[in-house]
Parts: sequence; structure tokens; C-alpha cells
Amino acid sequence: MMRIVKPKNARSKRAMENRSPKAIENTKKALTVRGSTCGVLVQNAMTDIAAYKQPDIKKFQKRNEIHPFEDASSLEFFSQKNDASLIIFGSNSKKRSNTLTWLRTFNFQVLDMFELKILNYKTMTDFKKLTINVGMKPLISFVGPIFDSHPHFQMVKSMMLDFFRGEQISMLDLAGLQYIISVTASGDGNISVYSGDTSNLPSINFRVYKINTYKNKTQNKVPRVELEEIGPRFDFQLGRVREADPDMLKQAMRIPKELQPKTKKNVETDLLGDKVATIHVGKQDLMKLQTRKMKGLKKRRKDEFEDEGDDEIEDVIVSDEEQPKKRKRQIK
Amino acid sequence: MSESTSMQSIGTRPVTVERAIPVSYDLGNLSVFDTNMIDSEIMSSTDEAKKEVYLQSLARDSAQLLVNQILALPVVTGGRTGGDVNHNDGVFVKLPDPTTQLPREKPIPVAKPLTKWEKFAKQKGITPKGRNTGNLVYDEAKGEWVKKWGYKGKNQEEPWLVEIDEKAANGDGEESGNKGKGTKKSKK
Repeated sequence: MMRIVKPKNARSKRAMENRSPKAIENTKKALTVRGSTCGVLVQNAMTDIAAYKQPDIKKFQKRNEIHPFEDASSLEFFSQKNDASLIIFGSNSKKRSNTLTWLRTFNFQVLDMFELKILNYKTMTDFKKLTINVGMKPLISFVGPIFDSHPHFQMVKSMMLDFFRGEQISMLDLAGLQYIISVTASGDGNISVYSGDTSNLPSINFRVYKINTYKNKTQNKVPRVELEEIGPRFDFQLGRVREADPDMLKQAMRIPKELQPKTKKNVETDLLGDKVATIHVGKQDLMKLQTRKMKGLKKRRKDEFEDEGDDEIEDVIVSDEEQPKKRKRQIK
Repeated sequence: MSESTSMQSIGTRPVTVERAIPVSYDLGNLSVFDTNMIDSEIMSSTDEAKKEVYLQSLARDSAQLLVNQILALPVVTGGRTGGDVNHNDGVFVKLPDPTTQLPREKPIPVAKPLTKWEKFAKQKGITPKGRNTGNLVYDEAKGEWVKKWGYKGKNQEEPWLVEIDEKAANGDGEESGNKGKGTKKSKK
């Protein structure tokens, strides 16, 4: 659909290469799109959520006549144009009031999406003004057995984790642990997927808290953590869900060869947790074995003649090698 | 939190969290997944404040567990890049790779097919020769980098020992001046 742009200079070539598929991917970018009936409440909701995704989010201002569950092609187009694989679409209708549709794309095609209807909403401005530095990685917590058992809630968990986790870093500054996003859903998880009636599903409570640490009196290593609510407060109701196409999902979950863990041949960890290796010693020609000047081979009082044992494969841990006791032979 | 809680009392609160089912972590993503049962009575009650307190306590416990785990990770000194002088402040921990598998946004890149030349070179074993290493070369005698060519370049230096041609000389020896082999012609 998109015309192929040929880079005219090195800078645009670099930009194009940055957007191209890579083994290790960039941080996923997001878009907030307003539907034709998107009201102030939903707009504010999207702004508040976007605050925790900065700087990897772009907020669209204009309204768009889109119905994601019927035809998501324009959302796919936005995704491709802006190189954004996460989209939040806000809408409001009589049947589905104040709804956010969260969707993910794979290769700029819709992978999966779900609707979250806003039941309760308290904006960030209603809470005490506590500033959080932009771009900080949040702590994320999912509480509730339903996030492990119900496939739709598993999708919600996956999408939210994808959305809020931010940049992949290997070194974390401990001062950067500033806030926690806590997503809770009650329910024992034994709710059948096929019950159809979505109003039976438990609501999802979305809370954001600032982390304050206090030195613990008894021991110095670990501080006491206390929280203060800062962020938007949402109670969501899960609505329609479009699950990922299994083939597309399989493709999306593939790990490139460079990142697959390299297993070393002949090295294993046994039941006790010890690292065990197998050394393959070559075959020894026993006729050419040097028995002269080997003290250990000297004939002992008792004429002991022990079996040599299998020379070919030895276990390194059982390392006490017994010298084969042989009768002294004349070697010509 | 009530007004009366002081810093003193916060310091005495426990730092360990008890959970019936042990929680699972994804430290690479700084996440914790708690599958313990939630008190549905509190959740479905009409008392909003009570519900919020409960939710906050659940979140606080999760945060405490996660912080405990993060602080147990190996600490790296010397800054973000592990030794970078410019980023020496702050205590850093080395995060493990994320464990939760999340879908990619783009397909895995396909290796580009080799061009005709690349195929030929590979088959013949032709490797690209070393690029131009620039003008500088290390002079062992001086112990510094000098230019190979150009102004005050190494190829311009005059030989420190020049044989005097007996015939050409006037017989005075060195006095005849710098007109031997290897000397540079002065510009007009």
C-alpha cells in the first residue's frame, strides 16, 4: 500500500534502517487516536495514560470515523506511517460509553485488540501533584489469579506489559525505581470464556503509585516501601475482544537465531545441580602403551590384575583415575 | 495513611511479605505477577475508601516484594556502562533478560541474498583489503606519531648520515655544504 521510499542521503537511509525489521527491536511506539464521538473524558484518560508512555507516544488531535472491530485498516495505516505498533483508540457511544480500544500490530496488521470501558476515572490532576521524571521505567504488578487463567485477561496483561514496560535496559539505576503501575482484578479465574456475557467479568482496577522508601530499623539491606497514589485511577470493564490469529501470533512470537540461548554440546547439569561435562578421549592402542618408567605400574606383592575399565568415555566428576595395574611385560 | 504515622513508626514496619502462593517475577521488565486470591467481599463492597485502601495494600506488598528481589541482584559499580567515567554516580544493578515473551512488532529480518560479486568473492576467498590507514605512522625512534607524507612528513626528512663523494668535494670535507645525495632541493 505504501510506496517504497528510496533513501536520498545517508541520514534518511539511517532513518529507514532504524524502522526496518531487526533482530533486537526498538521500543514499541504508541498512538492515541480519537474516534468521531470521543468526548473530553476519554481524551483526558488517553492523555493521562500517555504520560506514562512518554516519549514513545504520539497523540493525534483530529477525530476519525473508525470502528476498529469492523474495519481496522485506517488504524493499520496510521501504524505504518508512524512506525507505531500500539494504538489506543478512544470512543464513546450509547451502547459502549467511554471506551478505550487497545490494539497491537504485527507487521502493521492488527494482531490482537480489546475494549476497556471506563467505569470510574479520576484524573492525575485530582491527585496530589507529584512529579515523575519522563521516561522512567515503571514497576508493574498484576494481582489476581484471573490474569493467569482467563485467556482474555492474559491478553490484557500482555498488552499492558508491552505498553508500559518502556525501554529495554540491562543496568538499572536504583534511584530510577519511582513508581508502580498496579493492575488488579478480582474473581477466582474459574469464569468460563464462553459464558458470553461480558458483564459477568470482574472489573480491572488500574492504579499508579509513587514509591517512597524508608530505612528499616532492624536491617539495612532492604528498605520499607510505602506508596502514594499519583496517577490516573481507572476501573475498566473488559468489552469485546479480538484474539490474535494463531499463525500470525506464532510468527510474532518467534525468536531470531541470534537471540536463542546457545547450548553447549557435551555439557549438562545433573540432578544435583552440578555442571557435568563429557570428554571424548580417543581410542588408545594398548599395544603401544608405555609401561616402562611408570612407577604405578610396578608389580606389587600380590599379583593384582585389575580391569582397565572403559577408557573411551569418562565422567569428569568421578576423577580419581586408577592407574591400570598390569604385569610387567617385556616391550620390544 | 493517618497523620499520626511518623518516620519512626514507618521504620519499624516489616520489609518481608507473606504470600500463600509465591509470586512470580519478571525482573527484566520490572514486573511481579501475584496469583493469590483477592478478597472479593472488599472488592464488591460499596465502601470506596475501604476498597482503595485494600488495593493500595496489595500494590504495596507487590512493590515491596519486587524491590526486595531487585536489591538482591548483583550490584555494578562504575556507572551505567560499567566503567564509564562520565556516569559514575548512582548505584546500578544488572537486570536479567526479560522472561515474559511478548510478541514482536515486525517479522524477523530475512537475510538479504548475496550479490553476484559477493558470491564470487566468497567462492574465491577474496576479502576486502585494509582501508587507507590515514597519514600517520608511529615513529619508534621519536616515540610519537609522524606524518607519512606532506608538510614535515617522514618521507621528507633528510638522511642524518650522508656519504661525501671524494671526487665532488673540494677537499675541505663537510664545509662544502649540503649538496650530497638525499638532500632536499630548496624551492626557488
